[in-house]
Amino acid sequence: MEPILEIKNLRKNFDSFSLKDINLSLERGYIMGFIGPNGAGKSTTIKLIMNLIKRDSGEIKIFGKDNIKNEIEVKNKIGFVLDENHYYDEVTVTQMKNIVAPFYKEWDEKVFDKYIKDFELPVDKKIKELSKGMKMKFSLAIALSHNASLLIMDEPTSGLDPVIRSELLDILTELIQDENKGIFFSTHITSDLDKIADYITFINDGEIVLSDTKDSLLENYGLLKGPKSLMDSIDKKDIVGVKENQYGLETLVRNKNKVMRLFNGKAVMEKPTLDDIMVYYTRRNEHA
Amino acid sequence: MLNLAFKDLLIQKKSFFFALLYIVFFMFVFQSLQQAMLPAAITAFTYILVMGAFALDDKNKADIMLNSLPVRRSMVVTSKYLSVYLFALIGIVAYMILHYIARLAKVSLDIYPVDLSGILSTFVSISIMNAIFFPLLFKLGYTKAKVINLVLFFVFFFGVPELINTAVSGMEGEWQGGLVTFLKTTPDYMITLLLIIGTLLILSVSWLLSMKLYSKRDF
Repeated sequence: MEPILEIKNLRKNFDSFSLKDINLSLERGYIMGFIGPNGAGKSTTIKLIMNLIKRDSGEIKIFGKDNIKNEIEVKNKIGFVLDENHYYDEVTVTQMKNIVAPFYKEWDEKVFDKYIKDFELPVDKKIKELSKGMKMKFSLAIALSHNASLLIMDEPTSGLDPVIRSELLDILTELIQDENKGIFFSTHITSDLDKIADYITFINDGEIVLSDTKDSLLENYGLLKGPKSLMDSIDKKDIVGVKENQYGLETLVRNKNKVMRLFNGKAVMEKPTLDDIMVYYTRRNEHA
Repeated sequence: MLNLAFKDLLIQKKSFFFALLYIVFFMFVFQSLQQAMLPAAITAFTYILVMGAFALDDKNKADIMLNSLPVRRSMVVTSKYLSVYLFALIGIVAYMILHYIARLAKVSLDIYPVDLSGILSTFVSISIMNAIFFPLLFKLGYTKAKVINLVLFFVFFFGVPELINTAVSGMEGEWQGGLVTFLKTTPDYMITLLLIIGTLLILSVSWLLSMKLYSKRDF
C-alpha cells in the first residue's frame, strides 16, 4: 500500500528562508514526530501539505494522491490541528462546529458529541472564553469527527500544561491503534515524542537532517563522555557535535557500536535523548 | 456556499445591529436624498457588514482555517460576493419594515419607499463598489487593503460625481450634445438594460480577478 504521506523534493523559496528539496515518507499505522528548532521550516512544510502556501517545486502525495489536484478529496480525510486558535472568537463552540461541519462529507455528529463530553467542552461558551487547552481540545474534536485517516498537527502541545499534554498523547496513542491511520505531528517539545512517536524526522534550516525510526535513531546515536585525548581516534564522519566541560568532552556520535569498539571501556557511552540529538545537530550547524 | 455567507453575519451580530441603526440614521439625516435614500442607506449598510466580515476574518486568521477545510479557494471568494447581496437583501427588508413602522407611527419623515428603480440603483451601487474593493481585499488581506479602501471609499462617494460633472462640462459641445441626445433618444428600458449589463460585466471581471489573486495567496 502507498504511504499515507509522501513528500518528494519539496521546495519553497521565501526572501529570507528556503525549504530545500525535502523528502519524507510516513506509512499507515504510525506516528511521525517532526522536530526542529523554531524557524527550521516545520510550519512551512505543514502549510505546504495543506496547500495553504504554494510550493515552488516537488511533490506531496497523501494516500498516494497529489494534494493539490485532489485537494477536496484529500482534505476530507485530514484532521488538522494548529498551534494557535484560528476559529472565530466571536461565536460559540456549537456555532463554530455548525460552520465547519457541513464541509466534511463524512461528518459524524455522534463522534463529535462524544468528544465534547469527554473533553468537557462548554458548548455555549464563545471561543474567546475558552482556555488555551480547551481551544486545542475543540480543534481536536473537530479534527477527529469526520473520519479522517491522517492527522496533521502543528505544535499542538506548545503552551499546554503537562496534564492536558499527557491527555492529548493518550488520545493519539489510542487513535493509532487503527492501522489505517497516520499521525504527523510537529513539535519542539521532544519529550512528547519519546513517549509516542514511531518515526522521527528532524528538520533544520529548511533541510531534513535525518528521518528514521525512533528506535534505530536512539540505537545508532550515542553520547560519548571522556577525556579530550579520546576524540582524535574517532572517525570525523561519526562525530555530530562536541561539547566541552571541565571534566572533558561530551560528543554526540553516529554508529555508536563502531565508536565504542575503539575505546574498550575507557569511555562512557550514554543513550542520547531526542533533545540531545536536536541540540548537537543545531549547534554544529551554527558553528560551521 | 450560502453557509459561508451566513457565517459572515453570525460572526458580527453587534455590527449587524449597528448597521441597522445606520439605516435609521440615513432616514433621519438625509431627508433631501429623496430617491437616492434607499441606495445610499443600503450601500452604507452593506459596506459596514462586508468590511466587518473581512476585518474579523483577518483578526482570527480565518483564511488558514477556511482553506484547511475541504473547500476550494474559488468558493471562499464566491461566497464573499454572494454575501454582498445577502446583506443588501436583509437591508432592503429592514428598510421596508422601518418605513412601514414610521408610517404606522405617523412619524413626520419623508421616507422614500422601496421601488424597482431604487432596488436597481442599489444593485448598481453595491456591485460597483464591491467590485472595486474585493480584488484588493483578496490580494492583500483586510489590514493592508484598509488604507487603500478608505481612499477608494471617499473617491467613490465624493470623487465620482465630481469627476462625472467635470467630465461632462469639460466635453466639447458636440460630445456633450451627443450624450444628451443619446440619453434623450434612447428609451429608458434600454438605458437601464445597458446599466445592468455594464454592472454585470464589471462584477464578472472583478470576480475572476479576485479568484485568481486569492488562489495565489500564501497564508
